[in-house]
Amino acid sequence: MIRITLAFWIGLVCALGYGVFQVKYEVQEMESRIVQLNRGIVGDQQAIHVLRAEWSYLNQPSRLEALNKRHLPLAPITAAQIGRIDDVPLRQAVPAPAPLAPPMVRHTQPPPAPTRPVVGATYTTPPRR
Amino acid sequence: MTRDGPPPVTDLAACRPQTRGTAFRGTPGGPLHAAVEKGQSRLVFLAAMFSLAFLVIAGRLVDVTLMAQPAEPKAAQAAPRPTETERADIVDRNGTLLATSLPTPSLYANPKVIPDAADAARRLAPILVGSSEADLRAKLSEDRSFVWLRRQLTPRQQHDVIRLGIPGLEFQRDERRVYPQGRLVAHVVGFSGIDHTGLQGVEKTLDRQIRGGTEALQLAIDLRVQHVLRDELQRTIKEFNAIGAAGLIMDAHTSEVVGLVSLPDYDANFPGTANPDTLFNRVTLGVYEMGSVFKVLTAAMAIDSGKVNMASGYDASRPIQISRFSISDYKGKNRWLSLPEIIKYSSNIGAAKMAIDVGIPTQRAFLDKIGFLKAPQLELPELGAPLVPNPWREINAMTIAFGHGISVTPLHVVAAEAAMVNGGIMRRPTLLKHSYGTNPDGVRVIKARTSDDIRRLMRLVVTDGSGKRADVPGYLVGGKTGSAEKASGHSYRRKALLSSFVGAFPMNDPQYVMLVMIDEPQGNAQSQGYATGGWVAAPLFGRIVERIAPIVGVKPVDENSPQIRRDLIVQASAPGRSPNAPR
Repeated sequence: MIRITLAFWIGLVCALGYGVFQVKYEVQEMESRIVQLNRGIVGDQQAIHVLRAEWSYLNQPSRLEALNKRHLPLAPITAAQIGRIDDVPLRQAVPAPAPLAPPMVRHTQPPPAPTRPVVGATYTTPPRR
Repeated sequence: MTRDGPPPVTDLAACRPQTRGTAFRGTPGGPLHAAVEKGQSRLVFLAAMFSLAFLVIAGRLVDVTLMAQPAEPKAAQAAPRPTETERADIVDRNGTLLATSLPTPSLYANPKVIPDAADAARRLAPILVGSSEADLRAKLSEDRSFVWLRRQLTPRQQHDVIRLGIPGLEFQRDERRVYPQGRLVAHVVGFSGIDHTGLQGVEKTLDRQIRGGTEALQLAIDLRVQHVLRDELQRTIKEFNAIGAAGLIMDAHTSEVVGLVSLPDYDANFPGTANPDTLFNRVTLGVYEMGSVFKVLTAAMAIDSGKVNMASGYDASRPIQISRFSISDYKGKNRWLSLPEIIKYSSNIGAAKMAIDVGIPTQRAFLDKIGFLKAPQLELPELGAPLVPNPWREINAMTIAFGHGISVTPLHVVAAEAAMVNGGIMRRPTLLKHSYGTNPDGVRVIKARTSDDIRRLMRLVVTDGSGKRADVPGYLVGGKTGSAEKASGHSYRRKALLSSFVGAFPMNDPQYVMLVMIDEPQGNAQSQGYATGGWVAAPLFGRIVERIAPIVGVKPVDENSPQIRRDLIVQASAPGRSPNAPR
């Protein structure tokens, strides 16, 4: 009986010892990883800092203007190119739709044929000086 | 099972040597028995103490290893805050970087460790461009353990120095202030020195805030607007062969400076290349006799005093003779002019008579109210104090009415002009961005009605008067031209003009006030030889408005809509009446 108890305790101690060291190594590994990660983050932050300066440098308006002139057909926007919401004509008045039939009836009847051609909304910009 | 030796330990009594027999046990109640009992109880006490100590240790172990401590972070700690720099970044109103500090290595040496100073100097000299070999050798031979060789190396230089592999050369992390926009905002942002102190511009005035801060400092400048302003001014300088230019764009309601350009300028990354001429800020430091643009202010003063209204007029048929001076009109109409006509034709005679009508004390008080008698306010170190006449005689009052005899900075004019068109509220100009929707406190300097009249007058100048070339369809530009002869000593130089245009847009609800000023433009074939404000500055103003209005979100309007017509109509041809004539 005593031997069994003894074996049990010795086994438990070994298992615990193993477990403790296992956890310890894991923690150590994680700690070195977080240090590594933090170092990486700081490095990235510094790189971002430098890149932000470079981004601003590369976005100098005069440089963008020169690039645009060379590669794109864009020109400054003029007043005549800007429309207002009021310029969009309202859709022509459509006669109010007939009251809907009850659902069951709707399914049994074929859809009504359009009575007049469908016209999409048109949009024109009024000429300005 | 059998075992040899003593029987298993069951109690303390069994431990006693058996060989000595029972005699050793002593008789109960005897002295020996008492000693044994005492020893037993001591052992029990000791065992209990040890058990308690082990229990405490076990409990503490559980507490430390298994229980969460309140001070313990819930999750793994992330990296520290972003890189700390000596000076905070400066950004424009949209967050574009205008100034930042970048880490750079600085090279120093420990001469005591360097094995061969002459050899090291010979190999270092080609890398550190600008340092002579003899100079380096002298530094490396010094009897010290620290000597700076070069501050702020480029990455390539650092790489080359490391490759030399000379012991005793060390790097120190340093910072370099970088201005990615170079010249564009040089006069606003300024620059800072090698020891991280601001020396010019906002870098100097807000040094404390920039130096301590980690948050970026946000300016009111809009880089896109700034670029357009500089680009167009530069073009006009070239076109008219001028010596310089100034431009200022301000939000009419908040007095935030959205664009500020003074030409010629310098590259803030290389302040060493700047000279006094390029460092000079014409917008805030230069004081000029602004000329006819003052007539708008004279009109505002006169209307606000109640002595003059839009239907009033003055006799401008003859030049004014006062002491030994003569005030006449440039291309005068030589007749009675109504107030709108005085502004439209830019009549010096009319403006002078208006000022006299209002009186010298009122004029002085008005100019004081709009800040023309003291240095302007802005977050820049270079602010020019105005040149004000003393004593203030009648002749001064007359010339000030059309912008001569008093020298102010363009910043003065724009700040006042903003108050003239925004409904009469004067606010302190600022380079810092207000948070969206906040209107800083201001002081009322003219009545809202007067401001309304001034808008009409300024629009009239562009539709019918000297500023026609500033018109941009849809944006309702309004303003006033100015062509001041530059003073030299005691006389004026006829050929040296300061051509300017001060205006706002859109005139029915002004959002932005702008001034452009060209220093000594030379008339060319395209301007028919003229170098006046109407020919040089007005078209420039129009071009800038056309380009920046879509950027700043000013919507074009239909100029012929009844609403706009009603807002800006002026009875320019109304028969002018003397303010003293019976109504």
